[in-house]
Amino acid sequence: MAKLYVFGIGGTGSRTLRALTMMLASGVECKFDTVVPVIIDPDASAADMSRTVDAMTRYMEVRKSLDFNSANENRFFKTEICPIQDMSTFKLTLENTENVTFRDYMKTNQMDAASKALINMLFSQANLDSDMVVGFKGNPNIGSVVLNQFSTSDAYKAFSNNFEEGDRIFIISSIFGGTGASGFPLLLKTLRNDQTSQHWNYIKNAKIGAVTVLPYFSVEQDDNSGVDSSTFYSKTKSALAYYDRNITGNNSVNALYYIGDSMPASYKNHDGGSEQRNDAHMVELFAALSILKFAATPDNELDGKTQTYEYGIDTNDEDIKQVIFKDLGSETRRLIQKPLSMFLLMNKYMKNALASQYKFQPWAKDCGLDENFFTSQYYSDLKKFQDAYGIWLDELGRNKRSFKPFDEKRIVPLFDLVNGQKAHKIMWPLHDLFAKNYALMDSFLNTNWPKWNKTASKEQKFMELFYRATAKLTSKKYNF
Amino acid sequence: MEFFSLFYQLNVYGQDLFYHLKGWDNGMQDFVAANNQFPTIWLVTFLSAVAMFVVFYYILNHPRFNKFWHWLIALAVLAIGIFIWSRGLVLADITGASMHPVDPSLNISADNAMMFGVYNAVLSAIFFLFFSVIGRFGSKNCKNTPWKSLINRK
Repeated sequence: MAKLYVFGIGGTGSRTLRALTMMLASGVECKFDTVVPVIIDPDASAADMSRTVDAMTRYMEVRKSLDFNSANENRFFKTEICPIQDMSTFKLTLENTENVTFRDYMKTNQMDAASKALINMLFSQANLDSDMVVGFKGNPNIGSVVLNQFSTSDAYKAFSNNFEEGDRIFIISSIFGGTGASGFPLLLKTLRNDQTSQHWNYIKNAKIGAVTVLPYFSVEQDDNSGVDSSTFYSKTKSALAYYDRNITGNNSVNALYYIGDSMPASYKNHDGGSEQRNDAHMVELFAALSILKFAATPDNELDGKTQTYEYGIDTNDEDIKQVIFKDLGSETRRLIQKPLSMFLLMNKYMKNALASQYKFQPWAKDCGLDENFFTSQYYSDLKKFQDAYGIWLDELGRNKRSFKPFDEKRIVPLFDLVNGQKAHKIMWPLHDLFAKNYALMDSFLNTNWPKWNKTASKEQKFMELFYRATAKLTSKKYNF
Repeated sequence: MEFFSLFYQLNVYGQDLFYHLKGWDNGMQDFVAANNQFPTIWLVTFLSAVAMFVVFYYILNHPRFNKFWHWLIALAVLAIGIFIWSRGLVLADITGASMHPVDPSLNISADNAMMFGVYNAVLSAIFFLFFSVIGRFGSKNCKNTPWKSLINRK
């Protein structure tokens, strides 16, 4: 089966992959059965990357107990997420970037005088003295040198060895930073031109898509930091001009998605490392949607000149501060509102009702879901993933601009959860009229489902129950 | 022995009361079918149990009212209701306030009325238990009340 390789470069790459992971967990449709994320970030301790890797690892743990044959309807965690075959990690490790300055990396002390003079023209003293342990601190000129080693990394070799005909590639990068801005063109060049790759003939003809994220946040001014957001727009302009000639200009990418936000969020200024832990932002969510859009675009629509796409929300209010489902275009709404709502309902039930109910409810008793199950590693992983999903939604809601489709902290009334969406009263059958909030969820979970796979594992049954119940509930309550 | 009387055979509430409810006429020295109250008593008891069963399992059918003690509450409400009604029925006969006053030749007291109330309450509880055992499988939320059902579609 064809795979979609997704390269996430830099902090934005990691955060977009986090958004993609959350959407795939909720069952948002991806036309590829398998997504293979590859994170390229020299900042090995970046908190954003750690959170993404944790989420993807937990996703894999939960998913490995599930199966998606035709007897099952469940779409939660349906798309497979896995590292490159033969690799145990999602990270593409860059060699010789730890505990060295850029000067040491370049080995300037071994250069002759002419080369040194050229280096001094291209890089400032601050650039040369820069410690690369936390990335390139918004300096694409450093990144363009260091990231040239893509093709020699183990991860890239494993990728090219396993790449098959029909697989696709997607690249996520920001255009206004250091790692993403420099990494995207370099990676693309490597993909299209590195003839030493084992399956280069497949790779060079593969459909490649990319999202390049325009400025959507700024950082507080700090003279001691290498990151200065006042340069974001000028760097963006330069990079766009470069892309115009070398990316879209030569059609080396089949589809290029642009996204940004004129109302930038403001973050604390950290060079990187464990302190670089930016809240999730709706731009990253929409960037992740571009991956799904690319995956769903037929090959024949990607032939020829580079297709360029922009993303907009469906509102007349340019200064809208809080975006909800109704502000999204119909295509996006159709794609995400039901699965995200279903997964959140599952989250709310697990958090607020499950512990007090599982001993009494037929859905649990009949499926043999007892204390052993609810103290198992599988359930613990699922619970942790659900906690991460709640945090992700919370971050989206409190960021600027805010994407707040849910009142996710609401406990009751449960079905007033979806902002801007009135919940309908269920009048029939009569017992569902009497049941409210989590009791109504129990009533749906207790349904005698048709075509129920009695031989499925407990893990599968648990997921199947919640998928079917929340699908029916969102349909009846919200007409989703 | 006609069908309805069969359920009231156990002599725990007094032979005279059994005779009275079955329609004993001292003048005729026989039971008069028109005075036989057992069909009415049985039907009220039986249908009350059916009604409570249907309400508990199929109308209320509530996921927060499906624990064992909820079932016990339903059973207790039914039994108490039947007890009050049955005892009241006999007391009305004793005081002559009903259409079936007690024949003076029969020795029936308030204690007999009390015991008959208890008897009929137990009978209603048995009916309710019977329906709970055989008819709860279609209940979505209470199918495992008062204990786990043997029929499992999951």
